[in-house]
Amino acid sequence: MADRSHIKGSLDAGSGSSSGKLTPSYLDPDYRVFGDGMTYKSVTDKVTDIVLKLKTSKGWWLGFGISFMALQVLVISIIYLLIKGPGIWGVNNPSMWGFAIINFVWWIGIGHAGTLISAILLLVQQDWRTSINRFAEAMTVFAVMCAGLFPLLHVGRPWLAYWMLPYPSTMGIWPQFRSPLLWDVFAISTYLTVSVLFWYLGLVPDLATLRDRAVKKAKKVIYGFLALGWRGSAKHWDRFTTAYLILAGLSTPLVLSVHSIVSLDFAVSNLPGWHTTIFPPYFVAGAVYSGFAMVLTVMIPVRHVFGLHDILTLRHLNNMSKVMLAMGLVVAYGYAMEAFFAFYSGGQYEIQAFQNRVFGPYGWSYWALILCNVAIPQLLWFRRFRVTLVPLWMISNIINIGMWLERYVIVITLTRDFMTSSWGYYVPTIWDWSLYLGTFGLFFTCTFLFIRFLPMINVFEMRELIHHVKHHEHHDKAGHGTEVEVSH
Amino acid sequence: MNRSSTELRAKYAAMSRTAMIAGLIGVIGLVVGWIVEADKFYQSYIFGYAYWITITLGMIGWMLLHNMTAGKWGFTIRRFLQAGTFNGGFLTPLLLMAVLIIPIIIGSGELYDKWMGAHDGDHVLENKTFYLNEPFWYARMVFYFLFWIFLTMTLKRLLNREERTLDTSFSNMRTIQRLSGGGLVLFLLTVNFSMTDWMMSLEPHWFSTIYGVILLIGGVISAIALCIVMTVSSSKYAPFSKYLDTKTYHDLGNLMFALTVFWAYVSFSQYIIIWSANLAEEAGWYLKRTEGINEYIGYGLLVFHFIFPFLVLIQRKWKRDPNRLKRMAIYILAVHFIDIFWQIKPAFQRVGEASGLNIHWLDFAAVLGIGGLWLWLFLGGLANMKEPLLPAHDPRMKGAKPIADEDLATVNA
Repeated sequence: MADRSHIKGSLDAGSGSSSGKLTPSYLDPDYRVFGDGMTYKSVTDKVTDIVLKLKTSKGWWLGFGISFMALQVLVISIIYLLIKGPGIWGVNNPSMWGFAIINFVWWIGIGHAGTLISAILLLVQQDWRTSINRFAEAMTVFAVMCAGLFPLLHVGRPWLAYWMLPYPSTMGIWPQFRSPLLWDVFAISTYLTVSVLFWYLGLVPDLATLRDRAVKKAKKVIYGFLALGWRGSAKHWDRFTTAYLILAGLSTPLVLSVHSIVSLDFAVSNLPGWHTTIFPPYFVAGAVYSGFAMVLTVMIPVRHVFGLHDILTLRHLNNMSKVMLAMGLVVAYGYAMEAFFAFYSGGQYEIQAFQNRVFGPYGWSYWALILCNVAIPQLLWFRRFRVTLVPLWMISNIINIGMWLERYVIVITLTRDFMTSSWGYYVPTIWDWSLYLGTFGLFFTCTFLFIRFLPMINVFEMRELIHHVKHHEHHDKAGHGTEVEVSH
Repeated sequence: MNRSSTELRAKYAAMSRTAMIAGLIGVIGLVVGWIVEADKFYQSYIFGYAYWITITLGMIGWMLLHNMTAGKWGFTIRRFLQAGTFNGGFLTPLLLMAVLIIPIIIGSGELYDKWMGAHDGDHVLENKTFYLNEPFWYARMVFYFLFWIFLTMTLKRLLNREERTLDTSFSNMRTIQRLSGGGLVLFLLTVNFSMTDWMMSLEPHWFSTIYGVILLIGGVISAIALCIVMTVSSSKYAPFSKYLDTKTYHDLGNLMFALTVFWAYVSFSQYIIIWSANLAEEAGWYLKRTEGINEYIGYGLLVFHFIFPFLVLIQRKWKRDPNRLKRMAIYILAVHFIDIFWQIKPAFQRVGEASGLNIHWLDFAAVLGIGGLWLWLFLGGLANMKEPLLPAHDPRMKGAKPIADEDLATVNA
């Protein structure tokens, strides 16, 4: 790797913003995609040092330790579940879809930010995606792993889960191809496969950097093995770029398809409150909403701990907040349409289902959902809340809770069906909670390992971005008056 | 090759006159039809109206979106968006659409007789009277247009202030962004409710939460298609000739491409959910549209509104070559006609009777009449626009200021 540390100094794209002038946000130095003085070398150093040089901090051990303990809760919960069966959960007639489905939808939604950032923002050439895509992709993989556990365990006999696959079985029974539950099997396995491939492919050049920079033999061997013989030749780069674009193209429909199919699990049923045509896009928006919220929840502390302010600038936080706000508004539109069309339909069951949702025994959860997902996120209209870390972190946590509540509100519709005699009340048991907690353990254990052992920022893309910005700045200065006059 | 913007304005003016003549022919047709076949007239009229109102609303949507995102593609088409909505003065397409709602109001008793008339003990319709009742329906019409006109008028004023007085201060731009952001939220709601009022309530038992989105997306694709046609047609004249580059075409083409896919996505979502549930109150809508010849139009939409444009527009050369892109844009405007036809005209057929194609010569007269007048005002607005044809004083539009100054000089001369 060539050392280009001689290229230093002003990559300052917006230095015209001196004091006393009103500055549009896109010219504000705080809103650039990387900070002052970031060079090819400093980016590489900053990211690879976390993996190779810095001593493992006490904070990391503490975080990893807690996560790992939570992971053990998951193991225990699963073992006990396999011994006793799903009867240990709170699910029973009429509400057979309890926490398992709520948490499944919640986790799978969280994965969507990664795919959106990696694939769609790449295709629409948003340069600010560069420093967050690796992290978000990793989160996608971990979140889909957590999500996949739930339906697998919910089937009751997970060792027979392969029955869901359409193979020419000796029993002569095929799965029901019209059922969205089967589509889920395909959608999620495809999603996991493509996400892992995309993530790993993007890692290869950086793994080679780690291999080249590693001092210890073992690290050289392991990273070298994972780098698949990457030499950085022009031919490698050519093929890499092509493969990366193809995978981005393949991932793009997945952003829509996975959560659309999840929404069809509900919408294809004939249940009032579930059977509504806006579900697919509204679920997708909700997924991206919760995904961005989770990325911010995790990244804001990581940025602080590892001092990544120059790489994860306020511009990133600002833009992610804007995407989050937009998605939140789409979700709010969905709620409004559900409410309006419940009454517009004129059908008594639709109206009743909605009234139950809002004023029934679980009415508190609906109003909490509106508070978390619609009311509080409106603060993101104000720039102050988009770029101040603590409030933004709190809002993103509130959205995480809100999106969980959304799925809770939807699933809980089951407790009141058409006959009052069969109405019930769903109460999760300790084992529901422990399994949910346990998936946090899985998610964060993986995240901590990822932070420690892999480059969490995309080094080669950052370097490319620095080159790009520098080149453009040079170009702009050479060209005719492109600097913007900012009047008072 | 490089002609002046004065010539471009003259071209717009000439096209505007042609459009006016076409519009008048259409209007004469409509008047004749109204006298001869009044019952068919309203059905055709609402079809023609739906075609053009969705495009008008699509233009408002693009304007609001671009004020917030500020991509280069949007500066290119901003004048078209302004000319297509509210352009100052009385003769603007949006005001035209507000006036042209009058025949629908006159004919409402016939078009919406299922819910405006007696309910005959129909419980479902009785449950809907909180929303579907005549006074409220009229009040909503007034509200929608007042809101749309107010929104676009205010935006026009703010954007023009920025350009005319060169007030490119941050606060002004912030106001524009804020207004567009908040406006977009309300705009989407008004679009949904207006589509419910005009189109969905033609079959008052039926409902679908995504219906407003489907129609809006159809309109939004057509609006960008119309802007592409205008952009390419203007590309050889100043100021466009100096500003347009391949990337702008590529971006516009990508937007059209992505929305075509999104249109298919939302349309299919609605279909799969209603088809698989097969509930009596919903399935009727699709039964009418999948009977007889309507079924083939439905399949045709799948092929011609999604598969074909998908396969064409996924190719770079079709987005980067302006002439090919223009051809595709005209094509999209044509399939929007079929889409709206399939959405609206079967509403007047009954399940089990829909053997024939519910097409009438008045359908064409309506699209031509309303469209001719629409384009007359649209192109006339562009020809007489006091501002330069590129909003180059917008501080976000890099490198275009000299072009605009030159253009402004020709206008003032």
